[in-house]
Amino acid sequence: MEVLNFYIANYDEILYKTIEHILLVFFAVGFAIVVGVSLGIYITQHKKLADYVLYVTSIIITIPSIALFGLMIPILSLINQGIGYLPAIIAVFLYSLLPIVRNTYTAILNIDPALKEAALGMGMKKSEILFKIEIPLSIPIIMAGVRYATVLNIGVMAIAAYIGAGGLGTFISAGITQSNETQLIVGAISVSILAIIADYILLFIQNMMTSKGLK
Amino acid sequence: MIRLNNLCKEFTTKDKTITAADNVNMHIKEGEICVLLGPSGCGKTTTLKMINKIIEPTSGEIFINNENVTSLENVKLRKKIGYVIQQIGLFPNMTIKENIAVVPKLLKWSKSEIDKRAIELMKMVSLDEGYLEMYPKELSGGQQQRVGVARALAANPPVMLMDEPFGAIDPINREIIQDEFLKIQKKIKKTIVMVSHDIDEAIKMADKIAIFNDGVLQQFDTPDNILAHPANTFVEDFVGKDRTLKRLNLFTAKDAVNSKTDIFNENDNIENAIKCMREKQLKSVFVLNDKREPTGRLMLKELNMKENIKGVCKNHSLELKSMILLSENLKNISSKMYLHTKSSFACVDDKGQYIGEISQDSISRFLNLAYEEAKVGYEDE
Amino acid sequence: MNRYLSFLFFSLSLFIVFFALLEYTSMGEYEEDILYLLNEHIVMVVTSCSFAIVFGISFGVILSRPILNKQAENIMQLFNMSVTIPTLAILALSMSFLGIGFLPAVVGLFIATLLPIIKNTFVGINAVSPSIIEAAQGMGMNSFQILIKVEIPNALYVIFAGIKTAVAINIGTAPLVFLIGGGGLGELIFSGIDLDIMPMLLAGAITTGMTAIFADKLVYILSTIFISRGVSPTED
Repeated sequence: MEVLNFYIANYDEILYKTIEHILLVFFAVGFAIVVGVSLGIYITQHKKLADYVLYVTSIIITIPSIALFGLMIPILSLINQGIGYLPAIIAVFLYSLLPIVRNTYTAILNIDPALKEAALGMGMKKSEILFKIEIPLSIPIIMAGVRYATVLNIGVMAIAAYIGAGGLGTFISAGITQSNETQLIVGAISVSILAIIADYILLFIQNMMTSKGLK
Repeated sequence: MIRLNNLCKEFTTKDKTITAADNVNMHIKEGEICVLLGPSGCGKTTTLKMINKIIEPTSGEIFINNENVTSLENVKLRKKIGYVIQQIGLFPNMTIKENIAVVPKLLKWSKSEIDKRAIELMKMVSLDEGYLEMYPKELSGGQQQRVGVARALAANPPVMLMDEPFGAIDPINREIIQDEFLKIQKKIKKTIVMVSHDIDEAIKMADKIAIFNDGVLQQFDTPDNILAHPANTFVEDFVGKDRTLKRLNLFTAKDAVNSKTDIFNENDNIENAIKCMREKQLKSVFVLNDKREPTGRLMLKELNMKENIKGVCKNHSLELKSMILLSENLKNISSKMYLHTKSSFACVDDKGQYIGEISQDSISRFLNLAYEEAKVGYEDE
Repeated sequence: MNRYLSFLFFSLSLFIVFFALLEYTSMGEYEEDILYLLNEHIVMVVTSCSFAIVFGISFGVILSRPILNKQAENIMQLFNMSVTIPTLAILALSMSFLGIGFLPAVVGLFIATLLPIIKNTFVGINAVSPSIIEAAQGMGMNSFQILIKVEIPNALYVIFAGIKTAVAINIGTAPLVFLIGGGGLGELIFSGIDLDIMPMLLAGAITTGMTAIFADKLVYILSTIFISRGVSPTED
């Protein structure tokens, strides 16, 4: 098939773009994990802020990706980074916030208060409770949020090709402009497969990180 | 009213066949509560669910009101039977009123009929009308269970099937609801088949108990007969080693009182009284006043130890620590015997007048008399 | 009452901001285009969403029927995989089969929107407590009555969550259909990027963003109307 031939003929470029794609998503989501989990934990202590934070992040994720890119370009043009990977990473970062923050927040709030009481009764400090009990118990749910954010953003990053970010989306955009159906299909299939594989790998990691007692 | 003929249910999985119900034969009379009792997996729930075909029988026949319903269309059959399940099963998406109205609506009752019936039912199960517009999740477990019962009664079916209906409620509320249900049943007199694994609940609620084990019906009889005459070792073990004490719950002082006792009047001569007691070998005799109210008792043992007794009975009678009303439950009376360290009490009616003596002896005699009567057996047409 | 008022207030402010932007900023230059494309955009979204909801719920119900019980797990796996496929890819594939224009755009949007709805309908109905269904059977309801009166109403919370997700995906993907000849507000955004004209870009981006937020709130309000108070997990 033509598609298969394309893969074989251009495997180096495809590989390069795949790695580019993965790295872009990886950094954006990784950064979002650090910020998002911390923010999620923080707002469990400050309930009033929680509603506001969740509201804002949920509105962000409602905005279509290309529109968000569109909004970033003028701002980042000021530092000459309007086009390229930076707006893409920032947009993906913002998109990842809601799933991660909300899942962290919900997971920690849903921990049985009896467990915290038992821990306090045993003489644990608040920070110890946080790191030894609350976070480990929340990991499955947090990972589910990370998984959702990652899969979503692999798709978003494909669109980012249109603002010069690179990645597998370039095959799709080139395929459309050049009316090259093969390239188009290669791009579409590659991104889909990447998303599916990423989902499975993260599911595997999620299960690994869930302590046996919780399953 | 309900007749089960050779009802069987077999489940086949891969290579094994499990007989959940083995040739069950029963006849439940109209207006009676029949409790299907037994340990887990004994076939009681299977049997119950075959009556309204939630579980299809493998073989056998079911007759309701002399009509063979075995081949009747399921949907048609079930509209005539009220069904209460253990998990209550109120529809979360409907208000209490809508829940109750489900079957009447299916039967195309008019709106005004339904409204009237809903209010009637709420009164019957002692719930405030205000709950009608609320949703199940806004009610407590006990309240939900009552609504479950009301819902089953909505279309006034002649038959009700109940699968551990009170199991999901806490013990305190459970007792209250059981009592209320018995009061309701006195008025509506439905034919009820109920599943339970609790022997005490069965004894309290049932007119007849059907005990199952391993799919086989072990005994079908009144609660007292099952307690007095367990048909085999399984039933004996199941009802418990304290089964005779359990029987005490079923009767009152009225059943066991001995009204043919000797009595003395307060103003009778004491020396004559003692003479009478010695002649008849009476250990204790009650003393009554002119209004036939018991005021004390004479104990021969105590009198024998005194010398020079003169006067009337009133002067020498011992104070009565407690008296028993006719309506008092035998178990409570036995409890009082231990409390006051007495084996006999005076029994009075609600006007305070002496009826007779209730004693450990008279109770025993009564229980054994029931034993004798029961030997005649129950009818099974 | 509270919710409806805040929704009305919110929508009103959104409209006011939008028209203010048109009046007072350089966005106004493109007013004609914006309104025309917005109309096109809305038509596409509403068409594809309506079909997706109707087909999605129907398929979801069919898949949840006992006959298909054994395949249920496999079906779920298939759905979990398909919702991960990036929407741009779906549009691209739609184009390779159907060419360019309005039809492939709507079909692509339809398919992208369909999957979360089928999945959630399937999951939601299967999650209805078996004891409620047994109670309904015991009362003499037939399968159809049970589906309509018991299963679907109690699954509505999950179904609407699916619809909300699906509509969000739909609106998020709609700007992209410009790339396959489908028109809509994407034209302003992509042209603005290519030609490096900021006002055009912003006109498209802001309008798209506002439409998305409005649609999201709209679906939420609709869900509170349809879902019985007894079923939704949150208090009023």
